[in-house]
Amino acid sequence: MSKNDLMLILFIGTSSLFLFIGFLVIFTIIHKRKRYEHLLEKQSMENNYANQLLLSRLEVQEQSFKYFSEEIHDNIGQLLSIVKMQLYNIKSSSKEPEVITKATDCNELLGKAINDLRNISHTLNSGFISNAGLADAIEKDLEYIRSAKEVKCNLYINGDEYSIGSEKELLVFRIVQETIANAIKHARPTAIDVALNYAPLGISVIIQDNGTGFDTSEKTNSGIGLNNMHVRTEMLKGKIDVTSVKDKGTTIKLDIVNTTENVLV
Amino acid sequence: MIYFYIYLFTLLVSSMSGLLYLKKVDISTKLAVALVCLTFVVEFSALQLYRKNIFPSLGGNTAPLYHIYTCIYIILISIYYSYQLNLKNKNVNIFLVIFWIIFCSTNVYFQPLLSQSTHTILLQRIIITFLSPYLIYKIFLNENIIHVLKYSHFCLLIGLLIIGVGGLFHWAFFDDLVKHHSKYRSLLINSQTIINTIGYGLIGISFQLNNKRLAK
Repeated sequence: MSKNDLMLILFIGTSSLFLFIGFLVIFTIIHKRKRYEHLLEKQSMENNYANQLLLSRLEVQEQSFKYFSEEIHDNIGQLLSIVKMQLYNIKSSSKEPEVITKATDCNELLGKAINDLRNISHTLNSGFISNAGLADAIEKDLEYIRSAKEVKCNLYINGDEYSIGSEKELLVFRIVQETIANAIKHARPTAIDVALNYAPLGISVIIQDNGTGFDTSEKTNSGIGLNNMHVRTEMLKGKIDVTSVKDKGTTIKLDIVNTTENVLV
Repeated sequence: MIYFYIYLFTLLVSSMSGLLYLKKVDISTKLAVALVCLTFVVEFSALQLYRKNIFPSLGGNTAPLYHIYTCIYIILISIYYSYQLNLKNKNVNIFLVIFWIIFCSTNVYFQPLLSQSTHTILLQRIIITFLSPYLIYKIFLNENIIHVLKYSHFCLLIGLLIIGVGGLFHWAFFDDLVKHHSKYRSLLINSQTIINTIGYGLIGISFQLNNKRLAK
């Protein structure tokens, strides 16, 4: 082997091996990058699928609400109205004071029941919420809770009211409804305040109760109700902030930017 | 000589980086830290021996030092690969230690302490050149490792592979090169120093990556 041959072998051999390393590294990096992109794509598809699934679930829920609302209004409501009429007839035709007093009491109670049922029917009906507007729908819901005379409810409206679109208003209303229902069910508050703030850039809703509160960091607290709220907020492309202090109460703040975009497209 | 100082500085930084997070890194990275620290100590000692011309009668006065160094190096590198290959058997590591000590002791018979221990060095370069691509291939197949550039052992293996491949032919033909190519001596030494600087630099970076990975 000549002197130059040895140097040539050294140079070519080492260069070839370095080329091999370069190829190996570049190939691995490219493969991993492609894999990462594939994973991202898969994740995005999974998210889309989950969103579609949730959307369908909420649509079914909305349909069920509508069905219950119609049933309450058209069937039970009608029946109760007939009962009320019959009671009125009994009261009118009877001459015994005891029967008249009892019929009057029953009539009043029945009237209250019909009124409460109408309220429930209205708050379940998406059409009513669309027609009445967000503030009135919330007020109607609070009125129904107030009628139980156990929880003091207040609605504060700040700024000039405007519509953010019936679909979005329905979602906001459902979030408020869910929050209030959760508070009554789990926190046993004596007062619930709802503040609806209208600003040029969007609206914010603050729901505050003085109930028992809960630990927001605990995983057990992320139940279906809270999850639904988060899903609806996501559909609104909004932001929800839950703060809770044990034995002091819970505050939920919902921010929605006023855009012309449709929900969850 | 400037390249050698840069090389020493890189070794120092890599060693410090490894020692700083020694408690936080995994066991195989600890072995790599020991390897880099050992390399720094040996190269620094070699520089002192060369400068002060200690034991001038020995001729290549750093050769005995490299005999011990290459023996420890090949033991550490073998155990590192045994960990990476998931050979979790303690007996394998004990066998590797005993085998390499016997090998290096026997090698002294063929390559006396006053000459370079090229056989051991060549063997360690062969081990690195074959096992590192295999482990990189394993990383390639592992679907759980996505951000490969942030994966510390990928970086460490590339560093080792650069050192291994860069010196493979150099150490294979070392005796011939010394005898017949003395005019290329400085070029070869400088290129080796640059290659080692890049390799150990990458290993130093891998220590940082390993610390971050475990911190997560």
